[in-house]
Amino acid sequence: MEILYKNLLEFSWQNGVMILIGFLLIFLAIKKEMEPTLLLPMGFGTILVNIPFSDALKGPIVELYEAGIANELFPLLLFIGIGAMIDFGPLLTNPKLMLFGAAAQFGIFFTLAMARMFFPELDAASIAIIGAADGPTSIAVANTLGSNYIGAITVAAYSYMALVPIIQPPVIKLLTTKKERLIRMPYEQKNVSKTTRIMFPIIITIVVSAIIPQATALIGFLMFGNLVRECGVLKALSETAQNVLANLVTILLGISVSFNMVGDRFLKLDTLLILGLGLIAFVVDTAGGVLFAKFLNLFSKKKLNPMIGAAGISAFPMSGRIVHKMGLAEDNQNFLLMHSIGVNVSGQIASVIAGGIILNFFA
Amino acid sequence: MKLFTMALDLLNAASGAGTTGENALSNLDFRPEGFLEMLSYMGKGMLVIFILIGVIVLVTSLVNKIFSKKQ
Repeated sequence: MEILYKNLLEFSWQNGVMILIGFLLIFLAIKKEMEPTLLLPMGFGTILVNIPFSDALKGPIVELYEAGIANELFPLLLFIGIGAMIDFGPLLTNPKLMLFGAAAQFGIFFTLAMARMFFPELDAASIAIIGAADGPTSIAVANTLGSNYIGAITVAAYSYMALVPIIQPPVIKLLTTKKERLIRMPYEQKNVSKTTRIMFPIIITIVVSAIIPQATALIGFLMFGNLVRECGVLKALSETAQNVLANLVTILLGISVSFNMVGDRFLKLDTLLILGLGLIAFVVDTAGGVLFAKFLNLFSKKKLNPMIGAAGISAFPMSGRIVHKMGLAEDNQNFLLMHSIGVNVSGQIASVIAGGIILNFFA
Repeated sequence: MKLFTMALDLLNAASGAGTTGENALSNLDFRPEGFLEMLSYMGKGMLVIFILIGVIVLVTSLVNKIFSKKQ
């Protein structure tokens, strides 16, 4: 009879709380549809690894972690899928939009300084990259820097990405006047040649890698995915990358990240602080983009709607859509979508570059 | 700063996990000077990212011009 209760006696309060967190993640994934492809496997994985003497922790999950996260394979494979999903058309129509992507990475460097007040240098750098608003980049950087907080960093990065519709609007409203939010930006439709679309991912890879070699793998896989999309002769492969590959890798990524969600390692004040710092990163990113647009307006004749700066955060495509919706809420004839999506995809590129810069500084 | 450290020690002691080591609720130290130490990285990081993006904007505009004329 001892077999019935022997293992139950080994349960610690940390295990119990983590199993509840596992349930919460599953609830958010199913009921609120928050990043379900990631949060569902992560939630279930959290339950798996918090059962005392769980053989999942000794065997398959450790193997998956070593095979896919410790060597950065899963985040990179996921980047092929993300690259295949992105249409750089709006950005190629107006390449200057890319500057907003750069401005909206300020949250990363601000959070780096904030985090350094509490954490050792490498952990602070890993936490700062939550501001990239890009799960695979966060995981890849935190892993390369050997951070002990990769579980908390992943949870923060993906949770805040899903919470972008709640986080960004108040920050945007706080930093802009109604008059600024009403600024219309007519979209000039320009044809982008197929050659340009094909050349773009190759050029980005060469330019970024030549200057920041630490970003080569990240930017290379992202741009390879985009090349598969744009080349026009690999349609089936492009669709597979966008759907099957991306979903499959995300599931494996989620379940293997849960390796770091064991109670005694996760339930610390440090985790709460990381979640707080992640929120600061997202808020400052948003503010950086908006304030940069306002700064440009001081000099330009054609005024920009400063809200589009907020889309420079890499959470794609939510951030672009939020700015568009906020524009419509102020004036139902103000269509900012093409501009905001252009800025949003530039944020994707800039966040990877920022990840490479962080690695360049600290790896 | 001392207040932060004392609060942490109290929390760790209350949890019965000890003030240091793997089981402690937190091993954090509060170092306000850490913020200033990172300011140079903040400046360098933002400068590099703007320069790099600037180069990409220029090259992309150039490619755009060259290939839109040809086609």
